[in-house]
Amino acid sequence: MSNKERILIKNITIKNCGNFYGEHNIELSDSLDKNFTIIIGTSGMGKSTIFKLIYWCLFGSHYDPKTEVDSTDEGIINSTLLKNLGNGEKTSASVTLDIHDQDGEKYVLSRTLTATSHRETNSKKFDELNNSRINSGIQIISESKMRMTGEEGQQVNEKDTRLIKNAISKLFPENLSDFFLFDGEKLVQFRTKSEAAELIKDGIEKISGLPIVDNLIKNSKNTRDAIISHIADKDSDSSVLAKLLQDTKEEMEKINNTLNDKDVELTKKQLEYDGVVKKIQSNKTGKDIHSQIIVLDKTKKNLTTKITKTESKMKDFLFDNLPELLIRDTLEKSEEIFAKLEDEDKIPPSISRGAIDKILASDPLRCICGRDFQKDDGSWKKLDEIKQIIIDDDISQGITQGRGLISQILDRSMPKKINEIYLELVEDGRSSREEKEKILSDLDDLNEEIKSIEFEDDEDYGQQKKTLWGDISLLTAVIAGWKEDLEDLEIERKAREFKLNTRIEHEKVDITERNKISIIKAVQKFASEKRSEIVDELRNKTEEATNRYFLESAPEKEIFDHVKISSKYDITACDADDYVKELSKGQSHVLGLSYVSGCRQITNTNTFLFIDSPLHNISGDSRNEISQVLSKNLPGVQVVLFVTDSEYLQGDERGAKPVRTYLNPTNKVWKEYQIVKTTANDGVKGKTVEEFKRDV
Amino acid sequence: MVGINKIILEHFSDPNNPKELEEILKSFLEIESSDSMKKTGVDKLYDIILKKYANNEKFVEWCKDYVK
Repeated sequence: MSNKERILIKNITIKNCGNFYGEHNIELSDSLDKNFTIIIGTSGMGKSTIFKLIYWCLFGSHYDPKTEVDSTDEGIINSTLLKNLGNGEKTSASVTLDIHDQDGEKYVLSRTLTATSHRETNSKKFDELNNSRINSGIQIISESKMRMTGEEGQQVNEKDTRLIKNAISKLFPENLSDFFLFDGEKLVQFRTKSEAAELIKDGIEKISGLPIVDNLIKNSKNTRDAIISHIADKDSDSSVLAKLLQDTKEEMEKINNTLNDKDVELTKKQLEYDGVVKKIQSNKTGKDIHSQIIVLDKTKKNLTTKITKTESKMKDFLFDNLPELLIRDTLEKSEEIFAKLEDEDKIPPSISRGAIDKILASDPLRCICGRDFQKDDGSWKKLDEIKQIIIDDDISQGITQGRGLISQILDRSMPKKINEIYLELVEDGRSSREEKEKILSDLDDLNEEIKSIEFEDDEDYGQQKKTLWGDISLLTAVIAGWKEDLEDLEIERKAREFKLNTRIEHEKVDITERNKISIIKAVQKFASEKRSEIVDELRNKTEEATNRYFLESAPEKEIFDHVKISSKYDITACDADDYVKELSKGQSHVLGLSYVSGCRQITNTNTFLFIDSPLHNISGDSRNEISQVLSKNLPGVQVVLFVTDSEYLQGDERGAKPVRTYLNPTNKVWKEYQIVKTTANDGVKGKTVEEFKRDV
Repeated sequence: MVGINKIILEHFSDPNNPKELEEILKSFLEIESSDSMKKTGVDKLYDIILKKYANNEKFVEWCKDYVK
């Protein structure tokens, strides 16, 4: 751990944001040993506000805007300042983060919002134009600034938002923010394996630095394409092939762009849909109807699965039985012919050349059926003919086995029995479809009922839900269509690429260029093969560490034997017989924390870890064990815990001691802060952060 | 999130393969992990590295065999 690059936030300065009126500074630990800083606050005092302001400063976007409608630029600026803003006056709010690495200051990142009042009226007009917003007559402009060291060691103040974003995303990719700004509420996802899978996948495939390998593979391919295209320019045939290939690629890119747009549109519609459903649920009747819809939807899904299974069963059944049914007449005729041949002694029950010879050489002449015959009668002639036909013992065995096989097929392809099974399957499918039709009709009725509910804001959420659902279904179908087109184009691309490569390989081109293609192909193949080995090792290491931490601190840990992370990134805690155990809220919370700590084993950087409400949902004793495990398992990582005073400073009714009494003796805590109410010199009331110095 | 993960580097280092392959992979990984804010023309940088090894017949033959 100690040889990893450390990334930490040394200082946070908040000015006029939320309830933090004026300027407030929080210095955080940069110590390797005492790496914990604690921020204590009662519920609603502003712990999460600080957490979200750090997020906003890093990325310029709002933390979880899906669920928090107030997460806007306006919402960040202190409301007293906004309220008292006279016409033409300005005020500003800002957050500054001093970002350090192991050598000291790396970046100083500031984000500022400046609000200007343009009108005295408090109209509800809302306008959005690039980076400025006008709401209630107030225009808000966002600016960002980053101080860094330039290539020649000079201090540079960068204001280009794009460049700042690039530099920050190298250190903290926004899509991986859960790994350094972790919301304790999300730990409940670890209760079900599939909900956490995305987070686990991100940890293993992204935070580990694997995108570097992915980019290497992608750029190797691009380089190869560029060399091929360069060679093709010198030959007319190759040039035509290269042009065709390029056309296909461009068409694919267009479709991919459309698909991305449609995906964004779909996500937007789904969010709108979720919002409407939430509104419906806020009404009592709406809530009742919606819970009925959920039950019916579940049954509908089960029936759809059943119908699909029955259809697939029927297909398999017909595939197995139809050919035999179709040749049944032929087989029956063949069986008759065999029987006739046997009756006429043309095929004895066991025929062989030796057997015929034996019959022919018998004295007096006698068939195996016991009948006597003479050399000049019909039987003699028939036996002689049969002997001509039988070439060797294998053929005679073949005929016998063939006959046996025909009998077997005829036995098992009884039309009546097949018909019975077929009709059963048809009936199964029919009744499931009927049941589904009935559910669909019930769902329609329930959705109509929602339309008749009178909501407080007079909105027709029932109709909105219906329209949005229609839009979502249509978009899903459109996306599926584009994906099919893309698959066809991929086949075309491969064929065209193959033709072009073959042409180039047989051409008299510069040997150096051709050798470069051979090398880059090998690099691409080697890197692709190694990628899957790397993923396996990353997953194993994460699993090992998560397992260790979980077994040390989980509530009722004795019932667990190991933690597993599957190749699909499902995480489960199992008993000694490898049975997956269902987790309580507290256990899933610990599993999540164990994973968040465990996946740090595979990173190359010791990036800070700020956790909002890490001990939420966990009872006293487990809470204490977890806090000790965190302090033990995250050496050298800057950890900031945002905790409530009740969990940190008080025990619980069952006799568990406060977390502080366990964490402080570990000597890991550098400083504790408490968010308190304050009144500024000008009389404005707000909150501030001050050092908490009470003895343990 | 910067720098190259040791686990990745270890997997890319195989004593059974030609050292040239490892050298190329390391150079490519360095390009990919570069902290430069204006990263353009990666294929050009790759091409320059490939050119250095394109006349090494033994290595090129190994590459041809490997992708067969």
